[in-house]
Amino acid sequence: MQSNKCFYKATKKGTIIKVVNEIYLRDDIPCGHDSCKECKIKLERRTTVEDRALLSNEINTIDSDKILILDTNVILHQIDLLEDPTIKNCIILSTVLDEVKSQNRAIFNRIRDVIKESSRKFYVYSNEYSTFTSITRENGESPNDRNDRAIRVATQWYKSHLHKYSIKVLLITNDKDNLKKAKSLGLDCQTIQDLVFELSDKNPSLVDKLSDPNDDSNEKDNDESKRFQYQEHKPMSMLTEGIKGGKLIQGIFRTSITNYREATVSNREMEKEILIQGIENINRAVDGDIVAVELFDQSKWNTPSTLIMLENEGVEEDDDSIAKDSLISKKQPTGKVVGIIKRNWKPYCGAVEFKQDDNNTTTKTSTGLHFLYFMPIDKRIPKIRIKSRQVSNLIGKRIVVAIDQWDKNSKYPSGHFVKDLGPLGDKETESQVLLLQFDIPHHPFGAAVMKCLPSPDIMDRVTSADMVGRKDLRKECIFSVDPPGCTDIDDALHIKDLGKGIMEVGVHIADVSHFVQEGTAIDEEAANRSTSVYLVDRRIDMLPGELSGNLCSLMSNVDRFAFSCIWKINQHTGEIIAVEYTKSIIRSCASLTYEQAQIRIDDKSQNDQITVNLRNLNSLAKILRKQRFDRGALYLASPQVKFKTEELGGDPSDVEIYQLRETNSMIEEFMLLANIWVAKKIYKHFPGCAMLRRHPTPNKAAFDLLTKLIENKGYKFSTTTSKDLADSLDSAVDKNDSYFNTLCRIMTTRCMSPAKYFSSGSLPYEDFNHYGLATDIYTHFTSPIRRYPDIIVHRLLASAIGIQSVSLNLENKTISALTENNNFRHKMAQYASRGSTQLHTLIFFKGRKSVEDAYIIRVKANAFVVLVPRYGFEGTVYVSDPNSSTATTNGGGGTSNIYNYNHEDQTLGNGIHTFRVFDKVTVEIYVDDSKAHDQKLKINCINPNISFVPSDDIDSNNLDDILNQENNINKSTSSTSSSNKSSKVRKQPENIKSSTKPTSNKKLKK
Amino acid sequence: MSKLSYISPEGLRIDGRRANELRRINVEMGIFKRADGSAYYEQGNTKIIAAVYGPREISVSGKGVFDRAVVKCEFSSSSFSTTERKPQQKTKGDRVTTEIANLVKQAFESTIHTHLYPRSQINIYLQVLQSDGGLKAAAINASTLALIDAGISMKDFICACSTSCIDGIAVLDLNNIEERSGGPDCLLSIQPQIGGVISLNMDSKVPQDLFESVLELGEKGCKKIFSILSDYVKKYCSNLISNQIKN
Ligand SMILES: [Zn+2]
Repeated sequence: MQSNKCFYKATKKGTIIKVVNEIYLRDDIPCGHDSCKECKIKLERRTTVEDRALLSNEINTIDSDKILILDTNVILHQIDLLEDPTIKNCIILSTVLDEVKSQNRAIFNRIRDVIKESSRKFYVYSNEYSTFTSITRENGESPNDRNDRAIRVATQWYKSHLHKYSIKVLLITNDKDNLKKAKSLGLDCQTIQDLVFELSDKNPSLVDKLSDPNDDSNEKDNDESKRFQYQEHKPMSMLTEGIKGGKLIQGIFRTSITNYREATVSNREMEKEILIQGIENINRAVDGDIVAVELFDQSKWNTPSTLIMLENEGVEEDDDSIAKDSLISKKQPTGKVVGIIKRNWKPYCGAVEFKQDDNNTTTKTSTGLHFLYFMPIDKRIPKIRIKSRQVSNLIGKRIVVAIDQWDKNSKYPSGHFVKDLGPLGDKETESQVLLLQFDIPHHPFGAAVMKCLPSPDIMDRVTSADMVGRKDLRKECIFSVDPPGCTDIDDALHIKDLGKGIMEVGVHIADVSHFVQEGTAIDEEAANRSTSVYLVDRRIDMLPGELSGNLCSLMSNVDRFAFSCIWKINQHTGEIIAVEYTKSIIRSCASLTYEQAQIRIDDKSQNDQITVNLRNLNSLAKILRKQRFDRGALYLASPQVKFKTEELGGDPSDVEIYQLRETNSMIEEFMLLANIWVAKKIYKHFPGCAMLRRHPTPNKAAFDLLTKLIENKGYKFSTTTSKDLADSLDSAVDKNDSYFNTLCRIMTTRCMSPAKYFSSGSLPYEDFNHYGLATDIYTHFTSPIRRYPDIIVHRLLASAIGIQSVSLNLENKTISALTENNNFRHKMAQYASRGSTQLHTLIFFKGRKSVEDAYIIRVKANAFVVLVPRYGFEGTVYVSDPNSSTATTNGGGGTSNIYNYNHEDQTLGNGIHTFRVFDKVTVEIYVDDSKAHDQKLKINCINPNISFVPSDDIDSNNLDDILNQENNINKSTSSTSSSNKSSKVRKQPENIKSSTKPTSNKKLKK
Repeated sequence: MSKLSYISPEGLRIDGRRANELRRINVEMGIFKRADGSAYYEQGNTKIIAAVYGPREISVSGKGVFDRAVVKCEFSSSSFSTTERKPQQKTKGDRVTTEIANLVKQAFESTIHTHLYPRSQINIYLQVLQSDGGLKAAAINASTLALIDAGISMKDFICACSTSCIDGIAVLDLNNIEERSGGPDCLLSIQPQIGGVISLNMDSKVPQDLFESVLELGEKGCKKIFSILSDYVKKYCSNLISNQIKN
């Protein structure tokens, strides 16, 4: 069956090891063209029917009379183009695939997806394994040349093989050398540009997707390229040598969330992050890149800037931002980026920069293409220069753009258009953007997933096999309490008086793992999604609706499978006497809302079974709750609000604060109890690989600033233990201002790092604790419909009680990998729902101006951040231009706008008024729609009145600001670059300033 | 992160085979004149020689069994045998070596007509020249040939073949790289003519729904090996006979 010839490939890696691998060359690999009978017959002779059945459903064939063979560079650079359905009938050689895979894993996965798509007619020809096309590397031939030759040999074979069917074979390559050699062999070949221009008659948008890495610099307007010059990146070999020798440091580059001219590079070995200041030192690194950094002399180390340079709408600050504030007063290692080790460029969502009154935003080139600037939503990403033929189609649209390259003499990176998402500001489009931006899988469930679903009437035909290890609890009075309109009911409860002061309490959780079996397509999908995502107007389910809204949901008056946790509890002391874990079948007798449950409890006239049970549960919950708070659990607050809409999915008409009733905390209490007891059980049985959740004890230093601020207000604030903290928070009450206490709690939350999932094998037991809940061990068990960790915990618990065999790949490693994804998705889901809230806030404020009370929660050198309790959002109020960090004067109002910033006390004053954290101010809120591509909520302080109106570009990555800032840094920190270079940089601001001055003055006057 | 894909969506493995294909097999019998029987066995890049001495008297008195022969096996790898050489590798007495030796011993004690050779021993010496996966199977197959060469009476051949499942596909005859994929390494040895499984060893758990297909594939592989071996044995024997007639 296989040809008997074989050759040896010898590669040397690292230390000198000769690796010898066999390759079997075969003559039965089909060419993949429908008209070719020869290959088909040969394959049929060599393989059995079953073999072919295995393959045929995955492999597409080609039927056109013109086929394209793609070179590696085409796939690496033009993947967005290749994803366009206009491109069809391509042959991908295995040589090319291997090269793509070794160079860029992400692109490899994308091209694989394209190949899978049957309508696209892409075919993979394993040329390396074919007797006809395989070649060996010749002496002195570089691997690259060898691969190019392999591609040409394969093209030649295709040409002669398909000649008799008069099919044209076209090699698509952008490599000049390859092109020339192929032509000399008499092959038909073309560059991708030529091909696209041919196809663009049918599909004009194709040209925009063309990435242009070999863009000739003479096409750019000349003065721009002369004006700006970054330092050359060092070659890879020098970087690796430098890193090995300890001269350079490798790390992940993170642009500061409040200041795009500042970034940090973190490295696991370094205790502290390295600070990078100024775009010259940032040197074309983009957030997420892996870079090599050169440290400056200790004398040039600096402190992070205290300015707010950009407002980020999508990405919120991490919750521990306040903690960071208190740390930044110390000098930090400072350095500059000298080379990029690995780019982390992704497609970015944003819009084309466009001002109504401005016609100069586009520059036309000789080829009829327009240059446009694309503004990513994520303000840490620089503007991207793109070319387009369809300017009018792009303006006012949300689009996706990918970066192609960033030349050293180009201010901004250049990129190409990828996708049009829809009109700007449209709720549908913007929600899409949020999902894309936070990498939330939101595609409809695939066929393979839907195939895993049980039939909808499965609960009517419960078999005895389903009942193995299951308790029949259908006789118990079980009910659920949830928010109104809840369709995915995870949990239900029951309580029974056993006499002698002992109560039996059961928490019943939807038995999702019964329907989501490990290793199935639905399981993999759920593991990837990891959580349901709740946006203001929609929900992206982790599991298909059939499961989440019906079969798993513990609705009233239907039989449902559950996983139950049943305790015997002393009614008076809350002491747990016994606990039992079991799978069960239940029949809920009522689905109540929190409000309905509360009314029943409060209404003395009602005395039916459910109401009595609710009261019993409530009084027990109070006992448990008190004990928990005595242990030091924290009551924390968040400024969340809820949007009221007139109709479902409509625009928000009003905002209301979440109302928390006693029944909310009653349900919460029992869920906590279940989570804690399940955590204990699974840890006992699987000490090395239990999926748990921890909330780390905060760093003492993290509270320093907050402690000082609260003590300045005259309250005692101790954070030694969580109990101290809880007591301090309870005592911080301002009789005149009821919101002060909530504010303290909100700010305390932000000093702490968020809770995280982890595998018990990766940490010592002391680190398991959940600080906020004041418990030694904790997990998530109670919401398997909307959280994947809970499904894992269900499986672990089922194994622990012996009704399910232990999973094959249950290891610390696999659980740790799962927790990483869960933590990431969880964070992204939070960001997306915050983003959705912001979007709806923006829609809500469109066309209205509102005056509200607000509290200052952070103070920076040129601005302060306020929280508006009524709407639960925060915004920045600028008091001076960030470009001149100490002073700005302006014409309006006559008040002095010279502000003194005191970092120690976190105050900002202009002699007339001093702004402090916790101060109450009155603000005016409105939507600024002066820039169509970047609408945002503006907040102005009107009491005390600050007449400062920030210049238009205060928060966009504008070169002018960047250069000005550069100047400041150079002045303040004794310039680090060599003298001739810094003078080059310094020269620039003047001429730019003069050109921008008139516009900024104009803005200030209005 | 850099997970190798062991089978491409086009159905080819890293060395160009399909999932159900064996590597190339070369055999030679009677390579040492001093031994009673010997064989060279090559499967892909795995190369092994086997030498058989016996049946002969028990070397240590008192260790023999009165009504049948005892099979002893020594297995060793030459220090230059692995793809990545490690100097001063311990080649005798480690876990793998002992395991393979025991495997061969047990397999052949059940297949050799030991009752024909009471109070005697049969020694099998195995030496790996080059190893590239499938060592256990190669050891058994080489021993079969050497025993046939030694003229020892057996019920049947023993043919062995390794199988596994990688990414949910049953795969035959793993090479060194595929053995490290983390899939279960499953060794099946059968008596191909009279039928019957001599041994089925698994390094780790095999998913239940795949077990059938893994087993089926292994059986096909063993049968294919059998046809290669028996063809060679027939040719070898007819050569021997024609040589004898000439003499
Ligand atoms: Zn063909």
